[in-house]
Amino acid sequence: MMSKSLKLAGWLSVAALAGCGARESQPVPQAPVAQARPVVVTSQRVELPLHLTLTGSAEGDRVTLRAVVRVSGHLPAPVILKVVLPEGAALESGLPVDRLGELAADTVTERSFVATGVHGPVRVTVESASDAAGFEAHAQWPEAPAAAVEVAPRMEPIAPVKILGIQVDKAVPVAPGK
Amino acid sequence: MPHPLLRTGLATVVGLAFSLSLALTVGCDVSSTGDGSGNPTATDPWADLWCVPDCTGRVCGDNGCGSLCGTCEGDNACTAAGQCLSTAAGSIRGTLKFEAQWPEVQGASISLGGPQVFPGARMLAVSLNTAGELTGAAQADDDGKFVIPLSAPATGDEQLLFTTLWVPSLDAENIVFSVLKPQDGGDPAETVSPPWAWLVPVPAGGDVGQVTITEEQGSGAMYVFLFTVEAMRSVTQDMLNGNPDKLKSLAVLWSPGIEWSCGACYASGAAQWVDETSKVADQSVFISGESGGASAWGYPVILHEFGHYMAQNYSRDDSPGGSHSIGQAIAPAFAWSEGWAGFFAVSTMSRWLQSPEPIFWDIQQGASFWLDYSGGAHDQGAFVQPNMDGGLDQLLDECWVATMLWHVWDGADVPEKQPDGVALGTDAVMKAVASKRFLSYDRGAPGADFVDFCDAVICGQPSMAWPLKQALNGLLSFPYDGGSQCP
Repeated sequence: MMSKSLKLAGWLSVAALAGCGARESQPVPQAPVAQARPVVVTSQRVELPLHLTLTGSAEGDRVTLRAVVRVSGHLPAPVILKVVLPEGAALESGLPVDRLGELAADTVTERSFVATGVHGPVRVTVESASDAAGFEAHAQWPEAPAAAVEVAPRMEPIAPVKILGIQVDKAVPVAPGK
Repeated sequence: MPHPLLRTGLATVVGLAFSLSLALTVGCDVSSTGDGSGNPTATDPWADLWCVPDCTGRVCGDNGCGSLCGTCEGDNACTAAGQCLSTAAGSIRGTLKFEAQWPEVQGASISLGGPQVFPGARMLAVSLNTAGELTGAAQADDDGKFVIPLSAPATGDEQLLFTTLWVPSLDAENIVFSVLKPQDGGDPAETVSPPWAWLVPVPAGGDVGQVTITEEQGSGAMYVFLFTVEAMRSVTQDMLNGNPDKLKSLAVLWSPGIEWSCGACYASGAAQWVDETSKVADQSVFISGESGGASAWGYPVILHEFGHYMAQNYSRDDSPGGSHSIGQAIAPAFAWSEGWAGFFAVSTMSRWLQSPEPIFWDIQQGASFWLDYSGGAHDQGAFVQPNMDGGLDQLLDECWVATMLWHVWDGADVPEKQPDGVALGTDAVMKAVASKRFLSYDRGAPGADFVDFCDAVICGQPSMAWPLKQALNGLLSFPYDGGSQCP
């Protein structure tokens, strides 16, 4: 099944110009670009149809939570809301698994919960799934710490290489293999 | 039930990823058009879209249409310029790998698994001397292995460069595709951003061993680059007669931690620059690198945006644009634009993996979804189905358009689960959307839509009229009438 033949793109990049030393072409003079000039978006990412927000307040280890489920599109199956409590906590009111049913588009559904013995985050999920589609949203109270920000690798200066007028003068250093 | 791929051990997935076959040799498949030999004729409505192999000046390497000009024997290796050179005097050799994250479905949700290692298939390896002069280059094979012939043994002063700049041929005058490293996010914008690049010191003797670009080193950029180059190749072969001169330059802007207000989007008028005077692209795709999102690993979203770029430049797109949600019935031209982009994403991935992969998925902060375009027809609740009494201009769910496209496409390039009498394959689909019928005529609702696509297919392959109508009316509940309007 896996072809052993090289399916080369045949497309030469940078180094197609190789073997002859660096090949430079004079760049066509361009008007200087304005830094970060906004543009009009031609198409944009699809919006998710299932949204969940979770708010709450605490008095000691007694927590009152409010979950708001917003549906903005068609869902494939009835929506199920689940509450996951930290160890040792118990629900005083509200259902741990609540079948919200088939929620129509542009609807908002709310559920409230009271839990006692809460000494950690409470997590709520909503989901709707069929054989052909699945949607899930989740939230936590107190809110989870901001996810670790992805850090871009630093690119170090290198001897400039020009490719069709485009200069590559920095790169991420990578060690050779053993 | 989770899709089989997503339950498969990742070892299998890794083995399949980037493993391309030669089955996509455009122009060499027997078609119902032409003279029956697979060759176009003067009356072939797609005659101007067939790929013409070009081995001018090349004795090895790719011919531009998915096959080879030749292979090198003995201790010779094929250079990026398509020449067999001896490695007896010296060479730089090794294997390129990179880390990427693969999705895992768990019931209703989908999440990214831990980093797995993929081959840097077809990535170009460039050797430089200490002055930054190019001294050789070669393309990695499907396993990421590369051999760069040298005129003398490697002394240990050489360096290997991999970068995300792409030109389709030696004769190209400009960079056609790039993946750039933006410094700031926010609203999509024209920026000054460098191309991603990785530099590896070469030890004396020239054996760099297995070089692995890690996630922390920005492997996401290489992942995005390799997929999109293949998509560019597909466009060139299937829609531009193998002529890369017609390609419009495109840049993808992505970096870990950089978020765009649009999440992920395509801007046809957004140029990108690598410095104040050097423009590298006329159009842009913006991909957010936020923590907790799909980021560079979200191949469906990335290829979806590329699908918009393709439609905008090489087909026809009359979408009004704007916000849209899954399960919305929207104007046919809007539904076609989004459905086409979704179908393009999953069909492209399927071809690369040589396996039907109809799952479109995305992870956005705090939420996720997955859609199985092959299952929608059998799952009455999944998508909004059309009404057989609703007419050709009824509002449509973009997911249903993608579902219809999937079902009429599969069975040629990849197996289909349930034969439906129609298996167009990529060749026919791409030619239909690039055909005169699709570009210049309009039936159904105003603007290019699914009806126009069906008409274009039939105009190119009249024998498909009945099977296409049957499949759409029966399995897919769309009232297509088979009454094609052909130029």
